[in-house]
Amino acid sequence: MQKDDIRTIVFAAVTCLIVSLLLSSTYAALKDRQEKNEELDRKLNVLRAFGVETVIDGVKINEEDVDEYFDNIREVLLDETFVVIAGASRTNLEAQTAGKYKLDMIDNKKVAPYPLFLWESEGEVEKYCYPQYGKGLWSTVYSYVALGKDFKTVVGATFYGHKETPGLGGECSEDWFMDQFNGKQLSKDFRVVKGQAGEGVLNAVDGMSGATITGNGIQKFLREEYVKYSKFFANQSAVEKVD
Amino acid sequence: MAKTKEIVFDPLSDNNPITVQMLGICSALAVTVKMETAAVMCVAVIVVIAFSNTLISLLRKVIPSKIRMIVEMAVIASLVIIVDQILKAYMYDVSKQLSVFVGLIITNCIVMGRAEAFALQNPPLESFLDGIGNGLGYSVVLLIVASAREILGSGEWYGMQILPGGYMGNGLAALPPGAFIIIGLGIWVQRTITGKFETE
Repeated sequence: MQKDDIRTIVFAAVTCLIVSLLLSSTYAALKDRQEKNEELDRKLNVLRAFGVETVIDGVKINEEDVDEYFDNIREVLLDETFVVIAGASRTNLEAQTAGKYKLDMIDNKKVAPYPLFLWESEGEVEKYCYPQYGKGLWSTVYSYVALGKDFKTVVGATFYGHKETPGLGGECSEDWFMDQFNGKQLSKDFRVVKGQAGEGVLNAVDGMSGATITGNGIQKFLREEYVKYSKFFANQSAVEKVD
Repeated sequence: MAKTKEIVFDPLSDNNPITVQMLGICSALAVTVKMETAAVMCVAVIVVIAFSNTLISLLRKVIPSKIRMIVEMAVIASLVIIVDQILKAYMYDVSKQLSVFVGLIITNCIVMGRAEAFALQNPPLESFLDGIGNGLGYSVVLLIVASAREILGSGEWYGMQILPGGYMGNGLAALPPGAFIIIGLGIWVQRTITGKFETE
């Protein structure tokens, strides 16, 4: 091997080492702040789904306001038959269920426990909100949808945390797309569709031009998760009838 | 001294990266719907070009010529990732709006172009200034286009209502074709004033 080639390889190796050290230390230094931002964004999405105005005159509500709203919101965890696991929360899940459920099982949503947010007012549950996610075109789209007391009518829906193409699939997190869900009724046949979702149509919303695959992905998880959670809602209605 | 001035101010008009060198058009179309995103993008690009130019100029005598461009890419990509991480930590909403376009500064031809064309042949200070100059040149165009698009598209400027409330936003201006048209008009005006044309 020539001296020149060795020098090239050494130079490349040193460059890689320096660059990777630099990047990992930046990441480590900023990680806490970034996670805090993401957590706040997640909470804002829950609130928005519940129909709270999170942006007033172009200004986002601050952290204290968010926490205040969250005083009305209670998160419960549901087991595989979609019955509330009594007394379980994120902080005591493993102890409460004798290790049957682990904390990291909550948010992947492939297995129980399933999270559900309850919006309570004077001791009564007024709205229900659950998280969902699924594949769009390039990325995973995260979402919250909140339903009213009838377990069908949408109070609000949000889509966030995706990496879809801005202007096409990325439109799913724009107001015009999310606001259309208000007042619609979720069902196992709910559709994200072109041109057939005008006034009076309760089981469909308008899709995004040039983003059929993102729309189909959203339609798929909206249906699947609704079917899952409707088990909880069926349980609830049964309880109410007995009462 | 005269040369320093030239390095910084030449790219603002006579050698503007967007309207004369025709580099970086993609991001100029994408982030100019509103002033706020455009302004943050400008700062990000200025920082990245200035520092990538400086670093590459410092390394210019030791970079093996065979892997020259790869090293440039590594330097530029790292700087862009750092900027992106800082935005995510301190300006979360803006970073969400800029989405992929911060990452795409890596592929902004201005950055690579200045590294190749200037930083490899010139000392660090000049390269730094060349980076600032070209970043500013890019910014001037971006801010003009963004002003026009925000005013025509939504009747606002930097989020402040400036046209009367009854103004209906012009959808064309808010979409990428609007940016194309405005950049095109800008180039026409600029070349008419400076009298410079590309001649065979």
